Amino acid sequence: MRTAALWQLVRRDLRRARGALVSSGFGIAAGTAALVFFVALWLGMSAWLRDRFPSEQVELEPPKGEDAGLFGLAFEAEPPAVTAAALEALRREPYVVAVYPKLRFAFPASARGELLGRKFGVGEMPGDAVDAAVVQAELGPERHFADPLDAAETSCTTSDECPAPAYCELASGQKSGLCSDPVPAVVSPYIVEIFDKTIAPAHRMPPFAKTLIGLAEGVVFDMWIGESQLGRSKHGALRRVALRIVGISSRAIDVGITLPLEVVRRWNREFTGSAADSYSSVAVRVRSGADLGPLTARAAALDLVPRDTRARDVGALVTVVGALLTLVAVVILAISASNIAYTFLVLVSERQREIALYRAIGASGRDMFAWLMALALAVGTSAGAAGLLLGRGAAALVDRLATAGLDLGFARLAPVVPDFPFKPERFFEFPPWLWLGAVAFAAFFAAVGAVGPARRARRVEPMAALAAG
Amino acid sequence: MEPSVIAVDALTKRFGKGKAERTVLDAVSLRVEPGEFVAIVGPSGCGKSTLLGILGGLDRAFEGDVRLFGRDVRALSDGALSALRGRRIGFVFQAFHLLPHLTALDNVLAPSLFRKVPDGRAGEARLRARAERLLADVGLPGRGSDVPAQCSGGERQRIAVARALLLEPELLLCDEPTGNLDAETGGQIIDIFAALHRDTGLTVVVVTHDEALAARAGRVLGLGRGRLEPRPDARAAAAEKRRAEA
Repeated sequence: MRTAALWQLVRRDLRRARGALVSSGFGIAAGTAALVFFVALWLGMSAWLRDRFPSEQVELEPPKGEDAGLFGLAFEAEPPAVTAAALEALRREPYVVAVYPKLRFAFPASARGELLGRKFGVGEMPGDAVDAAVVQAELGPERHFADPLDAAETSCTTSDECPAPAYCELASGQKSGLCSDPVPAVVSPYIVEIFDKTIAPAHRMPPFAKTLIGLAEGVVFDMWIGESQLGRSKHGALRRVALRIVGISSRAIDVGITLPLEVVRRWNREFTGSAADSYSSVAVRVRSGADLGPLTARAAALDLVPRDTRARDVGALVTVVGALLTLVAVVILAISASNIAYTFLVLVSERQREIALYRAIGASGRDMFAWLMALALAVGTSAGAAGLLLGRGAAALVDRLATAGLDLGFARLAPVVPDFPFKPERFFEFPPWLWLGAVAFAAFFAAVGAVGPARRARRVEPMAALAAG
Repeated sequence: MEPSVIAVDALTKRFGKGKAERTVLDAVSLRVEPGEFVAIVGPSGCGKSTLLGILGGLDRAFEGDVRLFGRDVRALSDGALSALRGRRIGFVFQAFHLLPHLTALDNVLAPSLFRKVPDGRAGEARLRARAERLLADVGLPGRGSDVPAQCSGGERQRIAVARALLLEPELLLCDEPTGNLDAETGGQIIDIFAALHRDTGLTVVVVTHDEALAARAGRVLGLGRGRLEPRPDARAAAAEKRRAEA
């Protein structure tokens, strides 16, 4: 049958049987709307979870059992470490995208400073170090994250000899050092969230941590290394260094500050006396969450274990949610397909004579099958498009209600989801494939529902049907 | 040599199974040559419509051999048989079987939905013009936009005749075409068939119990007890009756 003729038949039917088709299409539209809503929610939450806990990244470290613990404290044992050889072995794995070695502070530290006229102090300043390449992309080219000592030239014996804000980088036991620019430091988005969602409300302050850190960028503060509230280091002497906040990085330690690798390596050597070329841990990025299994196995062979299982847990959560939504999709499929099947079955039963007539005037069984299937596709596509818009509208409404509340003109509804750290700006994601997929989904399952009735139309006995008329 | 339009040998058709089995057509044989006008007469329920359905390739569940235009209907695929039906056979039914949601013109054009129309839009325009002309030929000029509900029984049958003729078939199969019409209207329909046969040489097979219609046929066959036999008397009797009425 010609496409134009097929379309002509379908168009006539859409007019003729619009009541029945709209009611069967309503089921598909409702099903598609629910599916779109859930899938978009799943995508939104998955993206948010992945952003917080990248499932394709895991931090590896030596097993805890290898730590000397209290004995180490007594005998000053070297803590277990990730060796350069282990890093190289990980880099060679085909599924490994990047390897980020990390070095934790091996010395006590505290900080004091002033921001916007307010003095602040941290009795125990945790910190770690990463390679400049790891954070440079997030900071942009204009902000440098490197060991400032590389560019230092002027010798000094005290910081008073250096022009502010430079300080004298004078290692313990040395007679002279070099005037160094403040060491660049980055902080994590976690700190921003903690401030906005926890500290700021407690102090009746607006959530302005990002702005605050923006203002703090370039701000120099002092950090004392070799001593903190908990005690002094056995090696090295307490001394002051200057730090400058250069930005926020997702690679930064959750609570504390992250400095360039070379700086912390130098300070660790100074305060532990060890010259080992090793790291505290290593963050490994793989191609996808599916590569975490092989990576964990390879890491075990290198005597490394995942530092935490958050990535794996998040992956499992996303999988479970995905499976549940797939189940919802299957239920929607069954309901909408059976709805279409019933409507089309009635339609074919009512039109036995018409089908018989078409057969008599030259239509083949295949033409009848194509007619019904085309009609189902038209109904499915239209209902799918309507369902998509419905689902998108519902998602927009829920997003609005959850995040910003709703102004109805005569009344204002407050956000139904309270603020919490890392609360997403939106809960739904609508990638282009979802738009197309939803309509295709609806059309496909409408077609699935119509297959039975269409086959029945194909098998209509013309003589019997015409005689019945 | 041109094959027979219809060649039927030992056609047997049964309905039901076991004790309920009933033989409607019992070893029927029939030849219809190009240009013939054949009437098959018989009482109601004798199997006339069943025979016509088989002759038109609408029913292939039978025993025996049925050939249309030299082709074995059971050897053809559904698509090929449907194409043959659409291209070379026209049907007219007692109950008209018009599509109530379509206008008269669209009803006439319905067979073109299932056939490739050459020359695209120009071809479609030609078909449309032919459909309008056919409506005029059957006495319904300018009625193309009427829907069947606006037409009388006779007018509906005229529309059905125009529909059967749209694709210029070589064989017209008519199943009690005057069965639902009054005598006068039936007569008009009979006139149309006779004129078509006379003017175009169209092969016409009519099953009917209308003796007036049978009398216009070139050959009359009687169907009874499953058997098909020549009924020259029927034609003569009808002619005599017509003369008497005149």
